[in-house]
Amino acid sequence: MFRERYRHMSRQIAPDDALLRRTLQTAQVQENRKQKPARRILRPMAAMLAACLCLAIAMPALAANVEPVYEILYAVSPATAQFFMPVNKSCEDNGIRMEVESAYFHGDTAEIYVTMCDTEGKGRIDETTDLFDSYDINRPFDSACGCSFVDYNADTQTARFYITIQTMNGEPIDGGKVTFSVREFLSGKHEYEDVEIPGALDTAAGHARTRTVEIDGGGYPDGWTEEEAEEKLSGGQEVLATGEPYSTFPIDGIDLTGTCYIDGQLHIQLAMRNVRETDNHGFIWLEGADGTRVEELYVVMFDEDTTGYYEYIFDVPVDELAAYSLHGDFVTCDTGLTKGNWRVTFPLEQAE
Amino acid sequence: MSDALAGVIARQGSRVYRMAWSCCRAEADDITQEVFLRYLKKQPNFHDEEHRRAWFIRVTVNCCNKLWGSAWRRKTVALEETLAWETPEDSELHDALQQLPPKYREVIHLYYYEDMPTADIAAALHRKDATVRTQLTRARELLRQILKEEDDVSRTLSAHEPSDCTG
Repeated sequence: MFRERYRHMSRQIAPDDALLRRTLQTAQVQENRKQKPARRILRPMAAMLAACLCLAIAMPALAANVEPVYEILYAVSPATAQFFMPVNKSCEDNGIRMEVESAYFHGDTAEIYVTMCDTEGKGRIDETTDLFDSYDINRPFDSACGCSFVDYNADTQTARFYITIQTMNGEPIDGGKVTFSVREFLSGKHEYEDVEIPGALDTAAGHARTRTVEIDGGGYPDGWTEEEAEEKLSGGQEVLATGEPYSTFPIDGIDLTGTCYIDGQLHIQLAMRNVRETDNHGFIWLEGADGTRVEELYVVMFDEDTTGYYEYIFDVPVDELAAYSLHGDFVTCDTGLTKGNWRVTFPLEQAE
Repeated sequence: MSDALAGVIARQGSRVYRMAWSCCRAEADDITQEVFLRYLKKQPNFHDEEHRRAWFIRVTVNCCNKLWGSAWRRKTVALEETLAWETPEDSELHDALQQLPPKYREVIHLYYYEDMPTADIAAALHRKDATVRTQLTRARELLRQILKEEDDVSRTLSAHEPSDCTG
């Protein structure tokens, strides 16, 4: 029976333990930040290990004196936290100190806690600090990495991260030394959710000025074939001629540079300024008065100088457009990238 | 809150992850995290378990859609997840499902795994009931073609044809 067959297959799809721990930690950090800004979760490693052992033996004793991150870590996997070994090795470059606090190597996976601190007090490390996929572990294997922001201490301008690295071939990580490095990070990020851009569609029905540009890629629905994606998202494509930025677009670092129809489809063009240094990005949709959302059909992207352009294409007839307004979620960054050469080497020791 | 949060993640984690996998499997990890961050931020009050389930499903689908946003993510080649399926039939079915558009995979998952009536699926996904029924029917047709097991799949699927299905 199909239902049983589908369920049999689906039951084999489940989040792994590390993902649940990361999720719990990240969620708990958000909660801590909301309740008590800049709360620091650092604790001496010896005390943490002692607490772990007690907790592993007697979970009901989980008490108020156990720090929240570890508390939830134990709630999912009490046996795991006790294996984190102190590293406490650091380096400094460009006024930023990076410290590898502790690490846990087991099988093909490494879990590492890292802090970054602005020793010059310039505010380059904050609660939005993002390692921007620039971290690396110098080992002779292909690996998949994940990084979660854990917490931020405003007093010391120190951010903490939880990093997982897993070998692609399943071979264990063992022996010798490992070098953890970071070459750049983003900070000063701002997130804006469900921003309405009033009047943005008022002139969309007018005559479109267009140009042809080389497309760098884009986003398309999973249902498209590779041929469809190739046809729409590569080579020369007709897009809106970039116009004067919409004067009242409310997000610094992003401009609305065109809304018009081409071949019966609504094109909306956003310009992400200084995109390589900021990763400014956004996601827009059309929303009806009753809250109905219309997502884009697909998106094309192209870069010019330091600006990244996103052109969203919607399948909404022009005579129905008046029923919609433009909304978006946006992420911008005013501090931008901080670059440096942060490297810490420490021995690899598999947990027993 | 941490105990409650850990409990919510423990109870809903697999549901969210499976739904995310059915929508866009390469991003299932990130989506799962995002869904629970939204839960923490909103801290919604649920009338009952059905309301709770619908909320998690709807937010998971929204998060899948939102992932188009970041250029960084778009330019990142997603790693192909490889699962060691228990049977060749599991692998075959999974591969077939991956050939369906996400909107079809969503309704298949909610109908056959979550046991939701089409009206509830429509409410959770903000689609019309008729649209969901049509998508279910179309998804079945595509699966039949892909699996090339017309007799067997037709028989097993028709045994679970929703009574209100007109598509």
